[in-house]
Amino acid sequence: MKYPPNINIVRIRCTGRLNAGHLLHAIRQGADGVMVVGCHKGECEFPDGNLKAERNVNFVKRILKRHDLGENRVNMYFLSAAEADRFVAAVEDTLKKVEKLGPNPLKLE
Amino acid sequence: MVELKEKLNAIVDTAENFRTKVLLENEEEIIKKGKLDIKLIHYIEDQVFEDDLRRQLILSKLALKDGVSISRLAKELDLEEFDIYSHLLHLESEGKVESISTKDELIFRTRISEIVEGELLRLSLLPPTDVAVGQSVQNILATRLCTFCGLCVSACPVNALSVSDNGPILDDEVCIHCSLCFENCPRTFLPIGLLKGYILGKIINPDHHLKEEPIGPYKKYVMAQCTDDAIKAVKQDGGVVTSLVASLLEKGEIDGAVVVGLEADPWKPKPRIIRNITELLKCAGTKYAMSPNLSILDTVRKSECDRICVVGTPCMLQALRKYQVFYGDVFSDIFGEIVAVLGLFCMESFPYEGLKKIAEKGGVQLSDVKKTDINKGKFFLHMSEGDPIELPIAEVAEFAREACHYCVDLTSELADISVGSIGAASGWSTAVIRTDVGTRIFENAVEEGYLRINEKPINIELVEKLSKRKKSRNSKAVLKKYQQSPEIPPHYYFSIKELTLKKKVNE
Repeated sequence: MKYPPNINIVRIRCTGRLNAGHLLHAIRQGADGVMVVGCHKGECEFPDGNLKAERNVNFVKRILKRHDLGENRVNMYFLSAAEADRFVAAVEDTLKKVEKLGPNPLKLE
Repeated sequence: MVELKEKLNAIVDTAENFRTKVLLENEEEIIKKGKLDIKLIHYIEDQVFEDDLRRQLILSKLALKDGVSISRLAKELDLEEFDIYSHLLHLESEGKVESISTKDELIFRTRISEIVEGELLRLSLLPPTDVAVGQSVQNILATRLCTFCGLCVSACPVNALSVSDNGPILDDEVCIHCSLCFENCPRTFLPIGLLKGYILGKIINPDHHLKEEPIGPYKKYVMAQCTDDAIKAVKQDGGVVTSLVASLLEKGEIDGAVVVGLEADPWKPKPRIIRNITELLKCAGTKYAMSPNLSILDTVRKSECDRICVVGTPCMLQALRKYQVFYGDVFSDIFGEIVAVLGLFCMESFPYEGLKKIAEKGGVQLSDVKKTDINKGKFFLHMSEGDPIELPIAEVAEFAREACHYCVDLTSELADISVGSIGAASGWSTAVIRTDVGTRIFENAVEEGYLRINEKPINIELVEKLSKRKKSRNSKAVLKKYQQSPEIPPHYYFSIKELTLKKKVNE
């Protein structure tokens, strides 16, 4: 599997562990974008961690939009561990969206 | 100006606040209950977040400083001074800031800031002092402090609160501990000075607001009476409230009004949203049993009303104004736009059971009573024939509910127009017009012939005397109550304590 080098992977046990603060913290620390990759809907072990994550992602998108930071800086994808090609596509998708938005505005100051 | 870095810091900290977290985490539960759809939930989450964010920004502006004035905060954050003041008072109630105001300037400083290497760290994660984290109104209900205004029932996103004869009942199983009920309860944090300022459209310096007239802020008071025969047939005293609502309805200024009607049981009040004159006339006249009027606010939009008028007792209006100041944006898509607020004079009210006992004491059935009235120190039961039965107030006072003994407002000081019989001639009402909105509504009603004015002077000394008496007697009762039950959340106590202490200084 080959994917673009400009992503930094942070492993968590379940995307349900994420909250809005984590995603926003990444942006505050200078990340241009955040992609959250969770299991397919209906395939969560716990049993709805990925849906919780989706709610948080949507919430953060709304915050970013209201404050003109670009709602597409944070995106969620639902993939299984066996879907390498789709993961690569997701990374490329995120990069495309973030490139369109430009770098994190914090870096511009 | 707020720098981007500062703003992002505040955003991250706000995201850790429990108020939005709890709503996000329980989104599914809330949808399941069917009261709010996904769009409304998102709207509420966003508004609550933005409120919290503003407070967080205020805290970060206060950090590392000895004290900042409201005018400077307003400039730096590009917000109205009144909004800043209301946020600051909310933060004060949570124990996060304190006021060090002088006579000319309102200055606040933060009480919590953890500074590491010159940088302010995560204010919101510091242990809260008196914060309403996860609190419900359970304690208020259990200690019978509850005024039964019903606002908590409307504010609850999961219908965990329901209305019974003796006040709201909280279902602990359903409650998600979002504290929306607690935050909207008039018997928790009640910044009376701020709310008075809200109706007048300005900030009242806390040093000044208690020196004013004992009947609250007003522009003028007049004695008035209805002119319409249909209203005359059902009116209590002067029929002023009914006439005012009728004029608003017919002019199309409001789509409906929140008022008290009657249920099938005799004299059992039931809050209603009325949309036309026919419905209005059925709801005229005073009911002395308590009615949770604000418990139907959440059905306003569902009843296809956008602009409403609310009629209520002082305690209801305290809740309503508090909601308008602190949650006006959050719930506006559910509760509708509140165009006018009409208040009633109220000494005390009775639980339905109490009203039954009063009738028993008078030796009659409640179902045979045609009208109830309190006048000149007596409770009257008017029957279909013969003289009314009189009972001295002192004898029926024992049936009044406990919460009324902790109320310090007789004349609905937070209304646009307050109406009552005290001070007016028989068959007339005293109307105290307090705000610009109130003035306009009243003048319209007079111009269009709904009301006529009596030029005779009102016995305003009597109103002032009774109002003062209620304030001093009941604020003492509040202090006593809190000494007896320290488990009650202390916010209301502090609101009232300040009132009595400052009063003494002024005298």
